Amino acid sequence: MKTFARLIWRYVLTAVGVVLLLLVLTISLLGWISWREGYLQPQREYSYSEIADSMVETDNGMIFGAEHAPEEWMDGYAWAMILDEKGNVKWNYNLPDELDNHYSSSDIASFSRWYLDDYPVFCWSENYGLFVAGLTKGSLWKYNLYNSPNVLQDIVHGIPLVILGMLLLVLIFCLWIGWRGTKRLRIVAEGLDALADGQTVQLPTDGFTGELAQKLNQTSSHLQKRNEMLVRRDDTRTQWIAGVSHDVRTPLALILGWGEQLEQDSSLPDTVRHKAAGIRTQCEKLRSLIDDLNLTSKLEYGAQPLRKETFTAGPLFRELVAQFYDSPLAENCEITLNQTNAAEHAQISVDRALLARLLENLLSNSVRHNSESVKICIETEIRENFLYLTVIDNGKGYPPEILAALNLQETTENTPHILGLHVVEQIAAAHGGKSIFESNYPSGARTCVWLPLG
Amino acid sequence: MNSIYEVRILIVDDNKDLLHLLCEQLSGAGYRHIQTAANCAAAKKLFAAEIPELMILDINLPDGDGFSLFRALHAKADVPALFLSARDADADRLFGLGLGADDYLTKPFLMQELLLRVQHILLRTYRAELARTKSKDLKLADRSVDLNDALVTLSNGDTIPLTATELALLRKLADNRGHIVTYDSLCSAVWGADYYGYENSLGVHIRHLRQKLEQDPNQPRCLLTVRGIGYKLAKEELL
Repeated sequence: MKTFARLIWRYVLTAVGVVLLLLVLTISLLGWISWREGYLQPQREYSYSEIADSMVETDNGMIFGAEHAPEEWMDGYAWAMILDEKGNVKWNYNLPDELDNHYSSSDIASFSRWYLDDYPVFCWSENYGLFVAGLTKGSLWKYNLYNSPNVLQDIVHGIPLVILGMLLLVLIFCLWIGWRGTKRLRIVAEGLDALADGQTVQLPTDGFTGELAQKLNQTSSHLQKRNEMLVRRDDTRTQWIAGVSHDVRTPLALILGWGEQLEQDSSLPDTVRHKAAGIRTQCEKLRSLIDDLNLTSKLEYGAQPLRKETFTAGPLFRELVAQFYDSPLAENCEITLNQTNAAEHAQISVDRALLARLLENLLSNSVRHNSESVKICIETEIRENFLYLTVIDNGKGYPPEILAALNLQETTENTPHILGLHVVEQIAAAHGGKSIFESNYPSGARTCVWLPLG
Repeated sequence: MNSIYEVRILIVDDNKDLLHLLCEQLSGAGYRHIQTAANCAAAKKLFAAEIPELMILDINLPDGDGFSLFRALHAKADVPALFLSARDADADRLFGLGLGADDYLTKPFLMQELLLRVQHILLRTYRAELARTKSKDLKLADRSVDLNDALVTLSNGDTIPLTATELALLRKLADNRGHIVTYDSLCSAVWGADYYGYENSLGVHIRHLRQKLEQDPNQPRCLLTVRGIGYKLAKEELL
């Protein structure tokens, strides 16, 4: 079953797709955060080093560079101050009162790395002193990172390889999971195939498909029991029919024999002999019915083995027709056999006894159901890859209810009994062919049987 | 042996009514030496006392089965046999024939059919023996045919010789007198199994044969055509 393999592959590819999507989303998120940081957050127009560089020492003290107004220079900063070498505030801009202090070297060392009274600050050393710019409280987090130069180089060079490696690992992992899943599901799929073919299955119930396998095992067990029951029922039915027909045969042989004996006894009055002939005829019908009943039951339940042999159609049909034509039943009828040259030399693989039965049923049907001497024409020809056998008579034809029952294949309570013709259908079907029953124009019955060549 | 009706027939069946009926029918048909047995033991006893020339055996017997009985008796003497049984399965039929029986007839059966089958078995088995004693004259309306000398004798005493092919055809038809003989059987009888290509010649030979056998070859009464199937030599009583 390829469905599961397709399912697993789809699952693996989906997993890989999801991983790639996540990667793209992560990169996009990082990009968005950077963009947000760069464009949406409040920005400092000038860096503290630029501001420090721009400061000019005048007689009145320190002033901002003339290029911009002080507000422009300090855009984004809360305050600024310059400390002299002794740690005193030499100059300031908007410096909060609590910060206007003397700063020791340890204070400077501390706030240059961290915060000054919770104000994030930047320091820049100039000739005129230490320039310190402060931001509003809580506007910036400061970190101190230490690493060797190789680490960053390794990170820069290694990131693509790491990402590629991780993707590869994810892919391999997905494939491995998929392979394991396929392996498990394949067992289940094979089980399903076996069930579909009518076989029984007993699958291992471990692994993640265990429950599924267990259900399949249960289904298989139920089906097996049901099949066994059906086979037993069919066997019993076939054996019962065979048994009954066997038990009926000997008494029927006696009735038939006595009837025949009385019919031939010239010392008896004609009326008695006529009745004896009736007994004989009815016994023959019963015999035919028993044979058909037995055969139809066997064909229905597959108890009739097909003993196929290859025959040349021409001689075979001549022999079978001659066999019927020689029987007492055919005394009052006229039978002709027409075979095309192609049909004459065609090879057919058939069970001879069953084909004889098929012909006998069709011919005896024509004879029995037509009181006057009936003319029967048998024709064989080749159509496509089939031998097309037609049996036509000039009698009264099939009654409409019989034709409906034969061709519609539906049985109801009122369906007439057509055992002999049903056997014809079954024999044709058993050979891979079919039979069609219809009325003949202008009168009579026509039966067409298709038998495969070869 | 002058006639097939002189043969000894042993019938084995556990149904006494059927045994009685078979005896009556065979006697009525002219067979004069008929013995019956209702079980295997009785059949073996009769067989040991006098070997029959034909056996008619049922299969389901009270003290064994007809197949085993046939095997046991057949080992002692090669006697032709016909199984007469209610067992109609193909397997039984094939098994019986496979054992070497000459025929297998399923009950119920027409007595006429049984008599014909018995007649065929006897004629086939004892053909050579009968040929030594039986006249080979074939009566056909106002003519007779000597199948040994291949001569047709007309009502005025004149004779017409038959060719070898015509004789072979007539022999085959005479052996199956009253029954249809297919084109294939006739061709096979004359030219052997590989007769393909001779089918058209058959018509020519039949026409020649009719010219010798029939008063009016255009309206044959003895050698009849069964269209599409074969030919039939009409029964003597119908001529």
